[in-house]
Amino acid sequence: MLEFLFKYSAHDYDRGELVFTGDWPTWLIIGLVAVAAIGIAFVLLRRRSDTGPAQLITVGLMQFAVVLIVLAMLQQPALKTEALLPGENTLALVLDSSASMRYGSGASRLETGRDYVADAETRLASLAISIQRFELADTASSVTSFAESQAVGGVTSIADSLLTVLGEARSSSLAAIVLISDGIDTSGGISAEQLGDIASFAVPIHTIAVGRETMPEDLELTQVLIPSTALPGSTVSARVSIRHDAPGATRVKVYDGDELLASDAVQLQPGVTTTSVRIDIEQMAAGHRQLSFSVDALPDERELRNNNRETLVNVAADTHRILYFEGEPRWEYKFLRRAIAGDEEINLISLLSVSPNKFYRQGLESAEQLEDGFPASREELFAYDALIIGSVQAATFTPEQLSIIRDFVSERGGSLLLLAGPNGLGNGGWGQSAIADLLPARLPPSATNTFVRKKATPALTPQGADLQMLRLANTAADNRSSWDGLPDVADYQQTGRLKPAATTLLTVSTDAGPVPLLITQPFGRGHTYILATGGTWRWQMSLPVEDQRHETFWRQFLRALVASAPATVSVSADTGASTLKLRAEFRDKAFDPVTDLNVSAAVSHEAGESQLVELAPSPAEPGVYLAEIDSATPGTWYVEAVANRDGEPFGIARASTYADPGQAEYFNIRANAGLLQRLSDATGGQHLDPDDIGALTELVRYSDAGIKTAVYRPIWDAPILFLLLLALKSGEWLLRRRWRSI
Amino acid sequence: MNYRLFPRLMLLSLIIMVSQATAQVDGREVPMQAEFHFARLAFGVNGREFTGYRGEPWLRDWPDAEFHFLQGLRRMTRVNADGEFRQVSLVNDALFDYPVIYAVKVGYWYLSDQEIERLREYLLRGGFLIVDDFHGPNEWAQFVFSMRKVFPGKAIVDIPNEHEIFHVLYDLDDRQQIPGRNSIYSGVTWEHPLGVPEYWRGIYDDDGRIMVAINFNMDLGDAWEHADDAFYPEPMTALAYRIGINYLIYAMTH
Repeated sequence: MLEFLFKYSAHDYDRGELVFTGDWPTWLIIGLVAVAAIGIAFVLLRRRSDTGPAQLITVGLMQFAVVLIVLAMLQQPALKTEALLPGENTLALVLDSSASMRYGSGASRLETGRDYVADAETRLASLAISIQRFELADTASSVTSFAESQAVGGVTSIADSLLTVLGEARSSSLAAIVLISDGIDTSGGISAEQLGDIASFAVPIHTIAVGRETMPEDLELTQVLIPSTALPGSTVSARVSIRHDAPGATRVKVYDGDELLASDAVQLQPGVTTTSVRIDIEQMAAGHRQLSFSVDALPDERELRNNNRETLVNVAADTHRILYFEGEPRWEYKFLRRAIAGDEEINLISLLSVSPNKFYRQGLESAEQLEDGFPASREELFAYDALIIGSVQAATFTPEQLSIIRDFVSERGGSLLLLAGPNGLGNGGWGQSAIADLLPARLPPSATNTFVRKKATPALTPQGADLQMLRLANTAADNRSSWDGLPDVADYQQTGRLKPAATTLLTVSTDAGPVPLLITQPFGRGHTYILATGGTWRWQMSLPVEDQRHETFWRQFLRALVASAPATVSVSADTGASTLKLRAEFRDKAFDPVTDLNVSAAVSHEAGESQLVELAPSPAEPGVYLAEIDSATPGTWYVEAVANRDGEPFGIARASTYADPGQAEYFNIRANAGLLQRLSDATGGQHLDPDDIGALTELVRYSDAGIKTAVYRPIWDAPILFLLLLALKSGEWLLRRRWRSI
Repeated sequence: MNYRLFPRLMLLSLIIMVSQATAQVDGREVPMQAEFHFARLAFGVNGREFTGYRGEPWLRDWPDAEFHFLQGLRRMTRVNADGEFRQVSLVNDALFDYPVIYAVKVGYWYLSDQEIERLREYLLRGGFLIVDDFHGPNEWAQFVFSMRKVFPGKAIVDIPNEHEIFHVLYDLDDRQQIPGRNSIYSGVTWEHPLGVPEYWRGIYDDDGRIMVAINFNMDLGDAWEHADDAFYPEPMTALAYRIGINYLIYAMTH
């Protein structure tokens, strides 16, 4: 409507300059305005006896406005803009030909895109502009026609493709790019940096979206989050996200080859587009386990390939060390050791102060280990993955040892667990210690006795129920029952106020109501925990010997403590769209980054293909070495990174990953118009509905890029001016009739 | 006194005693005051099932043995031990709140099927039993008779010198027979003519941990009890303390 009234779009007015093309001199116009004003005033003043001054002024102003508008129209106003010089410019037509363009109800997205292209070419023919055609997938390729285009591209990288187009067409005065796509980018999206690179060419990109943004008939297994490594026999929790555009029900299944490992029903919630569920896979067997996750299809679902995802979990036997420092002989110590005794993956090395002058050591790996008591150096303490401190006064430790404990959590990434006791937590002065800020609670001062030797009932919090380490049964309901059926703990201890980052996983009922029993918070690279009891041993002594809940609790809890602790040497391999990104990290025994290594990696595919890759030091992360290789071959890739210093071996790390680059196009099949809109906005282009393809002609004609010439677009004949004249004269007439005067 | 009332009064007294004993068996539970409580095992003797906490052989050396031992324990270790001492039977659920129990005169004990079952369960869950003050082949036979029912397949074996239980705090390679005070008065180290030599024996669980420590032909309890008796040899008292402490520390660490 506005465009009709003003003859041109607001965009045109923004870019254009208002000029008068008439050749009347300025003095003449001023003179005419003055004569008109005097004439109107003279005529009206002659009739001043018939009417009041307000009415005279109103009519006079309306007549004067009419004169001004007429004079302006006679001076021939125009919009001065720059238009493409015919025959001198190029337009790039880019059609997405990635595999996702094969979708569509009836016609495929590619066929629809072809129709749009044909329509656009027809309309653009009047511009005398040269057209270059490109297909878009992982990169752009020039084509003479889209007739033979096939939607086969395994990966879509819109940014890389556009940069290719901009690079190739740069020498031919590129005026604009018209991109027809479903907006699905399987390379990880367009980063702000890439968007900036594209915008720096100053070539407007006009986009037209094809495909539907909602597909109620389709389920998509969007994401599977699962640890890349696990200990043999452990239970691994996976977080599965399902994309859906309608409520319903399905079932998640996990297979290892033909063996069904886990299965769980899922209700797809209304009002949301993604439902996430947790599924536990029990008793993971050792080896590289290629797990296949799937969701059952909806009745009318056509694309089933996005209902499955493959992932690799390296289940390897690896011994983790935990140091347990206990200040007095007590039952919790005994039964904790017994609970973990059968776990070959955890070596619990304990230091028990039996008498004032004697430590008793258990779980030793050598006779010299902990011979001088608690570790006094970073290297010695950092050899452990987790540290448990029992009923011990903080003053037992030297300031240097407390400083090392702080570094153990914040820099080494270890876990610290403090247990309750007569000399533990607040009673032990930990709330005023040098590591008080590491802890998830503001522990009361030591002058207050917070340790209560009274039986109390533990309870699982919702946050705790969501953690695998607190799973005592398979299903959520059974787990809740298992916790509800546990005997009381023998004692508990007040923890004080929790810190903002703390999470309460267990509570215990007391006379004053429930208080935290197990709390945690992250600190630096590691985590800290407080278990505010020394009496879980009652679970073992009060339950039948066949009941394994006490053992299960401690095994899972201690495994969780060590699972997040990084090793001194590590390597990871992440699969990108078509690349394998290697990241190796090397630290010394004190966990200081090692930057002077020569690092190479043997990368081999399960089918036998292998190559040797040199990793380069990361400029941003000391001790980190990076490399990237092509991984177009789907399947399992094994990586062995070897570091040498001055020809001497420093360390070896191994990893594996599953790559399936072609799979990416079967996911995210819903059109992403938002990405195209963002692209147009960043480059000064327009995101068009298919019905508005006709607007392309003018958009391209007056494009900001290309070789241009000035164009004066008359606006004296804009309907708004005639309507104004009509409104003014009609208004004057109506007023005169109303006043019955003048 | 009205002699016609006497039989009725006697019957009433008997009923009250029996009812009190039964009540004690069923519900005796005392709040915990410390990490460790010296818990003495109460049991029936000579073919009679346990009926209550009345004076029986199982109470021999009480309370001085506990009193002296606990003082030594608290002085020489970091064990948070209560100064009071407890008695518990195998049929009391509070049994499982005492991961170490001490039993004497087990050569006379009589365990019902229920007690046999509960003792097995107690030990397998992680409980630790110290038996003391029984002597000679007849008492041994009675003890073994019950333990065979508790663990039909488990052997009672001599604990070797190098075992951790003799080194966990004190190195106790050199041990000797520790008799009761009366034997010392008699100038011998045994309490039964056939009560020599002394044996340090044990029953192990499937993971190789001792769960029953057996002092046969010895009376550590008497040595603790008479720690303040000038006549009782100090070296024997000291050794008895050390053995008891080692047993306890072992039980609290294994």
